[in-house]
Amino acid sequence: MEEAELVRQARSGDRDAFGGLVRLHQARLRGLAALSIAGREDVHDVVQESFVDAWRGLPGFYDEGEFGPWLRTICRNRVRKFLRDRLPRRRRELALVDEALIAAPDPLEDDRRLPALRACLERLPATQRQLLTQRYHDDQPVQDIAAALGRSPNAVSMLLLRLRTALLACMAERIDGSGA
Amino acid sequence: MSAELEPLIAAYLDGTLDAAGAQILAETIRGGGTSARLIREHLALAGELAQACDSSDGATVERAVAERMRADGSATAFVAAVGRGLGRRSPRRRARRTWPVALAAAAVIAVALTAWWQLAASPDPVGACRIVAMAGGGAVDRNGLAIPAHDGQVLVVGDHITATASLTVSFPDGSRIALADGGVARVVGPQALRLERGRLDAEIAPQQAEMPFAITTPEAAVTVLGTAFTVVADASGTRVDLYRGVVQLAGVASRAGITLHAGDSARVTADGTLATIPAWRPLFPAQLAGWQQQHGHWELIGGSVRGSDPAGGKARLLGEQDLLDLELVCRLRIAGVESAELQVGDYNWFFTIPTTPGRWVEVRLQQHGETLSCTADGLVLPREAGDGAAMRPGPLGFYVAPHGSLEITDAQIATPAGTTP
Repeated sequence: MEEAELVRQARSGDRDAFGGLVRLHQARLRGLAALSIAGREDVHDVVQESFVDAWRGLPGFYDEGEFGPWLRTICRNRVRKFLRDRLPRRRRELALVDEALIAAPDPLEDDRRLPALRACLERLPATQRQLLTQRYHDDQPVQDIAAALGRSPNAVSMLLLRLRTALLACMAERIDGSGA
Repeated sequence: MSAELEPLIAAYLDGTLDAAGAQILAETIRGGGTSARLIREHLALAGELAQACDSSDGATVERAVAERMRADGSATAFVAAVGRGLGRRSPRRRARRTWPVALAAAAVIAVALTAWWQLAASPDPVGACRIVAMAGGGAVDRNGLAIPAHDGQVLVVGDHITATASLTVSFPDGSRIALADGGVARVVGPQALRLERGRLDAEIAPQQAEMPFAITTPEAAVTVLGTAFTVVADASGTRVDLYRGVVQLAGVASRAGITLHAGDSARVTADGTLATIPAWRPLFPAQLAGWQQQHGHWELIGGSVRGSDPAGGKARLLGEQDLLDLELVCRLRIAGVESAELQVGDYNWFFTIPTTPGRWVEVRLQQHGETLSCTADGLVLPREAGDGAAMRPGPLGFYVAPHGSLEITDAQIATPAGTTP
């Protein structure tokens, strides 16, 4: 079923049709939220809230062809709300950077990023993929990872930095190649 | 540039970023361009990695959304059922049973309004920041909307405060910061303020070691555990004068850091150069030691120096130490003539201090190498050539023309260690 038809049916209260829209857009929305939010669970929460907002707002939405952009706008607003709401709970130094990020535009939206990242991850040795998973997926503190590896936190932090730099270069290469 | 930023990005992601690093990252993000993009790329990648390593394939989100929708639908159905139930009742019965429902509804509305009011009034802990004293006007800019500042006004994160006279802000922990006339600052958090420009005087309550109070400027970051100090941010950089306690001062551009103790002063320039300024000390020691009475008669009485020539000639008091780097503050009072001179580098250059006879004038002089400036009651004075030679080290001098007398009081000087005037 086409997206526009799913939107029409969902607007009339069809939850299954809305489920189809969730399946269609959830990965893209997770990618969008992940541009600004590092925690996996937090990204899930924000994306859920975005879909619930969309479900509630559907009765007033009539431009079926523009559902994706409308949904992404809802998600961007949810991301900003999430970042603003957590400011008082953040360490002041981190909150200072968060504030600047909230005010800055989102220049990185590109659907090719996540597929490019997955492809680049495949090229990494298993030990390095494991390290990235521990830190960014499992959200293990650098100190804990360092203790388990018998290395200093600074060394682990720098290793993660080098891996991120290499991944960014790899992603840019793949995206530039695919866009040419 | 990236080499400087990358450790800061790593520290942000690891949650170990310090105040100076935070300042640099935030400023860079606000500045836009390639450096800002580099930061965004790394931060975005951290989130994307969490998603890329996630094997749940979106099922978690789909299930959660479905559950939320069911809950949403149940609530809607419940409300609808209640409405239908009320609608089925007979008019007489409804009239009898409606008042408890109305009462309950009124109570719910009252609770909701109270909650809304409290949330709107204090959206977060910074809601307890407020303006507590004003001597004149000021403005608070919130989300682009400027409103006049007033006593008792609650401030929230992001508020820009402009003082058109002295204005004091109290923080939840009891710390107080007085923003001087012309100062512009922004509330950054419950224990953080950014001074955009101008002068502030801070009395910071004792802080927990892991959560110090922070004051930032475009050039510097000051982290504080409880103390009293002054910060001045102007076109030449940021100056910090510490009166009590200990603070950490860091240059934003250089990330150089220094610990200041009571009595210390330091300056941070736009390029991040950080230099300590020795504490202020009296300009005139006992018996005018280190000063030469070149013309006229000069005496030190009760901390003030007074000079004139009893024979009606000129009077000049000249230091004995060559100086090229100094800051001087004093008050002058002239009698018998309309001006006096503050001479620098043994009359290499001088400033004419205008005055109304009998009135005190506050004079501030700064010389840092080739840079020489002087103000009288805040007005910038033109630099005048004495012998007009290139700037060179030389002694300070005070001069008053024939038939005049000059008094100097509250004179303090700051010079590099090991030099005296």
